[in-house]
Amino acid sequence: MRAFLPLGISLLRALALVATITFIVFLLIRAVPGDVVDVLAAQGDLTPAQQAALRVDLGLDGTVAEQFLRWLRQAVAGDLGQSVRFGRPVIGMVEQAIPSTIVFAAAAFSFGLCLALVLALGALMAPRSPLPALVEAINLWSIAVPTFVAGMAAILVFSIWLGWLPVIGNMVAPVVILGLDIAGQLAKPLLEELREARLAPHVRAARARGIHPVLVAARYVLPKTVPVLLALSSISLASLIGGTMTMEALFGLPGLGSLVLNAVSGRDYPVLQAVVMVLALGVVLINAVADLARRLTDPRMRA
Amino acid sequence: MSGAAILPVGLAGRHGASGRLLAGGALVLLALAPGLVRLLLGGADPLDQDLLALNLPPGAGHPLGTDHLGRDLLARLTVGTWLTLGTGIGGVLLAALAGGVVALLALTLGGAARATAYAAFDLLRVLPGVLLALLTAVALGNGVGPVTLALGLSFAPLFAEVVRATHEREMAADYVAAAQVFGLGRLAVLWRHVLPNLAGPAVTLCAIVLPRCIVTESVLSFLGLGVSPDQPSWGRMIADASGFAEDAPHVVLAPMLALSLLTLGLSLLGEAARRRFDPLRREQRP
Amino acid sequence: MSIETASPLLRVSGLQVGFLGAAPLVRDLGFTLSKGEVLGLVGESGSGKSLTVSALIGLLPDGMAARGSAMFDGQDLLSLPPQSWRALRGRRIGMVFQDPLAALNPFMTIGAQLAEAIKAHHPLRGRDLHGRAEELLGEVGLERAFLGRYPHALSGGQQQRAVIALALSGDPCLLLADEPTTALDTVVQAQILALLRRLVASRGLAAIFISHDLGVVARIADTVGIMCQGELLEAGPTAQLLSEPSHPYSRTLVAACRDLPGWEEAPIADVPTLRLRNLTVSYRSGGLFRQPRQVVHGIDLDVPAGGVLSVVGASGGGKSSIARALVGLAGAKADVCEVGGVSMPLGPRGRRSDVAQRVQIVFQNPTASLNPRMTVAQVLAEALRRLGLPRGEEQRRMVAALDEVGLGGEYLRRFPHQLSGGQKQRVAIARALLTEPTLLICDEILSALDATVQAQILRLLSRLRLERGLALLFIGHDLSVVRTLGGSVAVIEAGRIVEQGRAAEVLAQPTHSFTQRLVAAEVSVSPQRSRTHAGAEYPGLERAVVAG
Repeated sequence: MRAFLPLGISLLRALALVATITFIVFLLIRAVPGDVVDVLAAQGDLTPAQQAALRVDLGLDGTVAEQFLRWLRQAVAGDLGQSVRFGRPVIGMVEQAIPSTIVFAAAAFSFGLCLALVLALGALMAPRSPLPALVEAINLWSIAVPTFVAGMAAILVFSIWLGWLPVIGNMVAPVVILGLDIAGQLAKPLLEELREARLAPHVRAARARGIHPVLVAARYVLPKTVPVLLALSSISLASLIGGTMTMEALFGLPGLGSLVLNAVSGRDYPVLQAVVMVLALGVVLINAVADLARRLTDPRMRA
Repeated sequence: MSGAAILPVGLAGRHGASGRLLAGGALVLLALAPGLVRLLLGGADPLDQDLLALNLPPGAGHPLGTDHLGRDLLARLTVGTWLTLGTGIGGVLLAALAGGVVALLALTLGGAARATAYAAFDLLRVLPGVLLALLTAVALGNGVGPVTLALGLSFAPLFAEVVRATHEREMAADYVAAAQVFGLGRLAVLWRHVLPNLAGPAVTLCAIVLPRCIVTESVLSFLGLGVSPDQPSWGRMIADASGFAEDAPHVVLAPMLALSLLTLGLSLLGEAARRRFDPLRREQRP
Repeated sequence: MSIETASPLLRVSGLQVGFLGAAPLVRDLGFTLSKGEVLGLVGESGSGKSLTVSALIGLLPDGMAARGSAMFDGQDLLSLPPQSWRALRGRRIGMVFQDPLAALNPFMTIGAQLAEAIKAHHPLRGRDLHGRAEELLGEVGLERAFLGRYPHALSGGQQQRAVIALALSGDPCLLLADEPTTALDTVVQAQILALLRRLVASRGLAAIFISHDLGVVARIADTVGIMCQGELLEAGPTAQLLSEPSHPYSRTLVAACRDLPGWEEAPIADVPTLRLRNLTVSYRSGGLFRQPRQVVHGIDLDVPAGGVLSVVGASGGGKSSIARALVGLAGAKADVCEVGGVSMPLGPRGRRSDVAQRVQIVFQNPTASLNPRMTVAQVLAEALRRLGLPRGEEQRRMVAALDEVGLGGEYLRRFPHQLSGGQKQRVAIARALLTEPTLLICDEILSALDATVQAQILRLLSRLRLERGLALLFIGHDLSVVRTLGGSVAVIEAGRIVEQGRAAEVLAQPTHSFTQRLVAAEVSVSPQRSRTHAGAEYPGLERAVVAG
């Protein structure tokens, strides 16, 4: 029972974080001077009484805190309001967009992780090959070249000049580009960690006991890298989200990214509110899971 | 650490840090050159629209051609240099201030101040930069100010972490204990022992964060969450031109090239700075 | 230089180790080793002893190579191809390292690691494998239950026993031990040494034991070799070498480890320098709801003017906490705390008073106590900052302090990394002297220094005591130093004083069991306390502290 205490605290913290973020978004949206009712009042003459009634209808009456609580209650019940722009229930739009985004992000991350592992392990085993240089290069690439520039270049080369891939709607190019970006972030730290793990005293001690090098690599070197990988993954989560939105925008893919960007430009606040909350929830949850996984896999932290 | 890291284009070669410095500096100068020329010699108005001259290729009157609204591309590109660089630098400075200075204050005051400050930093760390920019765009609209704010808040936790790590390391050192034994107060200890050891890592972090800031700003402007629509940040220009890439590729290629040169060069410089000023290396000197 | 014995198991000659293309770090080393013989290699830092042993097991750092010959069982170890090493390592040659926790895989249980090590050399399975693992644990004094535990759950001594079990799992005939007891507590160290001696005898092993501590080596080795700067200066049977060393360096080393002439005892004034009653020290633990942890429970101490009080005990027992409390670095309370008869406030704010500045401290690690970015002048100036003296006066006092510790004014401009360990410690002492203290607290100031340098620092302290009438509160674990200093001693266990009195009496006739264990665990170079003698007075020492 005791062991679950830190887990419980983490969950509580995560929930508190999401609530805070959602509230801040709520505040910011309401901070914009003038709301929908004011706009309508200016266009067609509405008496103050009519304005007040309209406000109640749209749920814009009361203090900000009251509005937030009302929204929260409705959200928990599954009602995220209506899109101001399209008139459809927000929850439906969000539900439609989520799978596409998740599939895309998962594909890109898996590709990036596998590539990073292959490159790092290869660079470790074959230090005289061009692989270490490749790891450095891909790291520099991910820092210096934004995904949308790479995406644009890919479109120019593969879609416009060579005509191999369609401009809009193809998933291959964006997955590869985002995956390369992720791999660039993971490969170099992973390699450094592997190198350090190899020099660790207990690896030396294991070799002194005459244990087979492959076993040494598997049991002594690799497990040390799991905590680092988990930590790195949480960090690259941020760029994964940004990258997904960028790729969706650039390649015209449906998903949360396109949804939220359209909501910002179209001032569709209910949609914006909902998507931000979903994204925040996702980020916080994934971080919490990664943290938990780290705790579980490192017996030292169990003590 | 990794041995001789060779750039695939063979620029840095075996010369490690000095090679990076040279290559990085060259690329940055190359990227900034047109902007410098503009500063000295002036040029066309980047906002001037000529609806009769849309998406023209390079030619008379417009050395690089025009964009989809008939604005001179060279003018927009060169003015955009300072806009892009400026917002990047602004973001770094704001991050250093909001992250580093606030963290330092919080650590000195201790207790509740410290807990609150670092809870706030945790919050910021979790939010991806794009999400933050969404919020500032919603609250404050587009423009240089809001995007700088978003950048500053997004990178502040990094500075806060460097400050925290240095502070922790220094306060645990025996020589700080010795200073306290001689009656030195908290502020004096901070001034004499913590701050001097902070300078190196802080400068290094600035050098590393600057290219990331510029990249983030360009992404945000690309997505429409950054600068205002007619401001020629390179990210914005790429977004505007992306729809016409088939017919007028030069309009999208120019800012892409400029951006890549600048960020690549600054990244190399940042790496060189890190190797030079990394505090861990310093202490290992015999 | 080499020593000859009949039918040697290992014959090393002309051994050279170094980076390729650079001057060798180990030069022209030669010795022989027979079954059942223990060779102890002693040397101060940089002597090359670790490299020698690394070369013998083929695990030199990247970029280093070894030349010469090392004939082991008909094969030359120095020219073996990598594949052949697998048959030797663990199976014929075993190794024990300095830091036991670092030598164990934190992700595997002890049992799993033992099984893995055994399987690498013997085709055992299932119950046989399990049985063998239990046997090995029993040999090193650990119970079956330890098979299922993870390394971080074991104490330092238990971890080292596990490492020894792993090293023996292949049934080697040669055991290499690189500073295996340096990271351990004094009492635990004695137990591990006794264990190793027993194993050498029962298994008929040949062993090479490395240490910087001549006393430790004297306790376990049949033959001792003294190394300095990569050369083997002298080697011979232990007792002979210790009583009649011939090489000048050996003589210095042995003399440094032997008891120094005693100090005089002469209280200078009636008022004691320190009077302490009912001191309690607590530390704040992390977390909102945790209570502060009390580490020292109501102790009384007296230090006569110009006198010496030594505080000894196991690590973690509270000795350092007392030191830190007296200079305002820990949360402390006391009914009475008087320095020279004047009440002294405890706590960090109390340091501003003049009374408090009469108590000064020197820390254990000389490198850590000086800011690497500051010059010696800046380091010393910190002590005088409170006084706000004019520049010229400050300078004069700093030069005078440096002169007193045997360094000159030219050291003012140097940086710490340009100084040796001994010189850094002298700077730290000079800094402490600048406020004209009456009591100097020495918190394990000798532990990080080489034996010869320790002797120099002790002589310095003796001189300061006579010239300035300085009283010393000496915290340490080396009982021979305590004996040398004379004065009184207080023995601390778990934050309480279990025995105190005149040092000579307490150490000769300890009454409390903890003190007895400390005395029995003592390693010393005096011929009377040879390895056959130690442990005989207190039978059952090995089983006394099961947890160690």
